[in-house]
Amino acid sequence: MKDMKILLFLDRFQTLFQKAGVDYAVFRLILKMKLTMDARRIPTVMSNAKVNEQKEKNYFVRSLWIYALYGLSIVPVLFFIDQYFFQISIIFSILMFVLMTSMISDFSSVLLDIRDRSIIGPKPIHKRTLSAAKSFHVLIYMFLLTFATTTVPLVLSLFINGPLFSLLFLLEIVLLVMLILVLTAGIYVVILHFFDGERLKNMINYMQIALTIGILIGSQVVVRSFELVEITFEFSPAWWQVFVPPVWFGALHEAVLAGTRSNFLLVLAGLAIVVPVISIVIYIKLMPVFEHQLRKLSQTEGGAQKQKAKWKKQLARWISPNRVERSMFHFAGSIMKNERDFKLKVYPSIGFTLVIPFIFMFTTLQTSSFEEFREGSSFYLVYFTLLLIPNIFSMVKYSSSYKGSWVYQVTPLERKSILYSGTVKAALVKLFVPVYVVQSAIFLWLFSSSVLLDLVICLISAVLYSVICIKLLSNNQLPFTASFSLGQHQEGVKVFLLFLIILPLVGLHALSSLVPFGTEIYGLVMLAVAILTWKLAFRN
Amino acid sequence: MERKEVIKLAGLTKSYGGENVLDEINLTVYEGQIVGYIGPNGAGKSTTVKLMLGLIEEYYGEIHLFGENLQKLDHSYKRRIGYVPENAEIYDSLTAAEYLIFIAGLYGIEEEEALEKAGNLMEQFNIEHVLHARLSSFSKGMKQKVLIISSLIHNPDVLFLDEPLSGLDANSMMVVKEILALLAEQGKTIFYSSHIMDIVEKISHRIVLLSGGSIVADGTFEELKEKNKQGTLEDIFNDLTGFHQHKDIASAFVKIVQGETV
Repeated sequence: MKDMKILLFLDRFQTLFQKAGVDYAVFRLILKMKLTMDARRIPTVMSNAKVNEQKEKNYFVRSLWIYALYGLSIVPVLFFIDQYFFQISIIFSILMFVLMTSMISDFSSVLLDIRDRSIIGPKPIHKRTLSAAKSFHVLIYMFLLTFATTTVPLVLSLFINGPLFSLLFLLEIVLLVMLILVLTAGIYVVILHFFDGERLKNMINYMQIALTIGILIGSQVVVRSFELVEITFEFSPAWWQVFVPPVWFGALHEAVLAGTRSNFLLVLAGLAIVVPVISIVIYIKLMPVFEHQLRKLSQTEGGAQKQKAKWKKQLARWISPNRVERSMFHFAGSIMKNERDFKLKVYPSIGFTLVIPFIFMFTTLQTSSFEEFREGSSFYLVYFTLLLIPNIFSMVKYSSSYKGSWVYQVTPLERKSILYSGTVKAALVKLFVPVYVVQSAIFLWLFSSSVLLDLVICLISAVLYSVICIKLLSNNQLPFTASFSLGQHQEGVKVFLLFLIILPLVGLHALSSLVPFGTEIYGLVMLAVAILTWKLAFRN
Repeated sequence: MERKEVIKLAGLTKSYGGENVLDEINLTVYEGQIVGYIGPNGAGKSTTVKLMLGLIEEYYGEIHLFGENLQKLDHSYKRRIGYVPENAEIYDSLTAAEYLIFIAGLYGIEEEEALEKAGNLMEQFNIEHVLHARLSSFSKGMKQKVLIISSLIHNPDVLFLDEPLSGLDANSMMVVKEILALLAEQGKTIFYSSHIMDIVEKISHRIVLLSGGSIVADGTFEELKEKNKQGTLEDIFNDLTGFHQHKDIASAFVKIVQGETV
């Protein structure tokens, strides 16, 4: 194990840690071990890889540049809006969204790791030291991620807005990271306090969906705190802004740099500093409590045996006539339903896809009447639901109990493609279709039954799209056979590129509607293409 | 000669959801003893060990370790304990050397010293060639050897072993059994849980049988044999846990496998 630069950096603050009651030597040791493990991907089943020190690179660090892309979306705000309050509020809404969602999906598994309990637990270590090491493990990645996202905007702001602006910006970013870490842990503590066992794990997943939706709607709220008066944005104070963190940071900037000092503004600015600092102190104090409650994660009550409903059995028989495939269908379905790591990564995108179309509609509605809106082509927004698909299929090859996959090798499987087709069917039926049905119901209510055919066509496109996604994302890795690690970000690029495939799907659909009976014909063609592609893809 | 009390459990009771997993356990273990701690699955064996290691909290009764009440001890008492859990979790993306250095470090041992000791111990187990290979490529027996080394690397006074011989070949088993006997001679206390009765019978100075959260037998193998008039520890175990229907179950099982109805 080599010494990482970050550890050498932390060494300088040794005394600070000692003062906080942390055994620094042990703290460093745990952190070093964790970072070493992150740099390695656990080899997949049946491969006897020896350590190759040269090839060892942190996959997470390698994938950071995708966050730099997110960061670029901030740049226009720096250029085109030169009113601090509005500018910073918008920037921090974006940052908070990016950081909070990745915190929940990628680092929850670090925060909620219970393996540490059984290995480090019996050793003579104070709980505080372990907690500190775990927190710093997450913090290091949070900072790397934040750094990747904000470097370009920070450097640019130095030229556009001057050094004071950048310095304050930097300080605010640090405060935001603290706030997000504590917020996430805080949410878990609250849930862990009220629930236990399996129920709790489900709760965490629902919280993720709720949070994603909440942040998305929240960023809309931020925008609505400002009114476009002539060409400048006027801030319109309201009591609820006290609960919207990005506005705090905007207020801080405004108060320091523009010198606007109304009482309410100062309160908001004060919150930006006080809340993160106080919460991190409380967090450090309460971390042992958190660890204590984590125990509940490993406790499971013996679940009652549930009889599968008859209609479900019938449905499965109809969807998967082949017995082997049906067995894979059931198996994949239960893994997607039960595996915590899988849900942690995929469920947030469910919340995302549910909300995104409506946010766009909301924007349209502001410039046009409801009648115009209904007659218009906003129903194509339903295609946003398809964003869920690459997210699911980039994850199906992973499982936390990937070692169990030896069963694929020892059972007499005629062809491996059946494992993929079963998985695709399970993902569509168990995850995509429920979301799509909810979405469709709302769309039918909004746009009347005239869009029914279009909704069906979109569903057919979803099937076609799924086949493309699993083919391009699986890399010949069978479902649930690889270990989860922080390395999955390298798929981020692929997923992003796959998003682009949705565009021609929408485009062709919209084009076909220009010709009489075009939509009907397009639907039939899509159906034929989807069936053909399916047959070809899962041939042998 | 006065023997030193190392472990003392007094009225130890632990319940989960109103059900007592451990019910009024009283047990005193002395220095240099190898205690075979046996019982059917779910009898509360690992719960007892986990309570002593502070992995589970909240219990009734008292736990004394090294003559001190556990409630009054801070984390440093664990320095004197070595632990091999059953189905042990292991950070298997690390190499054996890294893992052992890490564990030794948690006990406060310097890296160079730990590496040297780990290498020497692995050599004795004949696995020195994989010192720098990842644990994920290890066989079950090799992993078990690493776990045994990791539990002893800090020279503890008390050892809690749960099925420590699982996956080891017959030769390695003999080595480990001999190691345990020597450690006990040095005054170390060994708390040994296993389901393999003939090993427990051979190595234990004293056998404690736990069933349904209570101690149903406690004594040397000879004493137990005397009392229960049975030939082997396995027979005594079956007798005391009230299990006699193994033949019926086996024949029903085989019938079901062949597709017959029972």
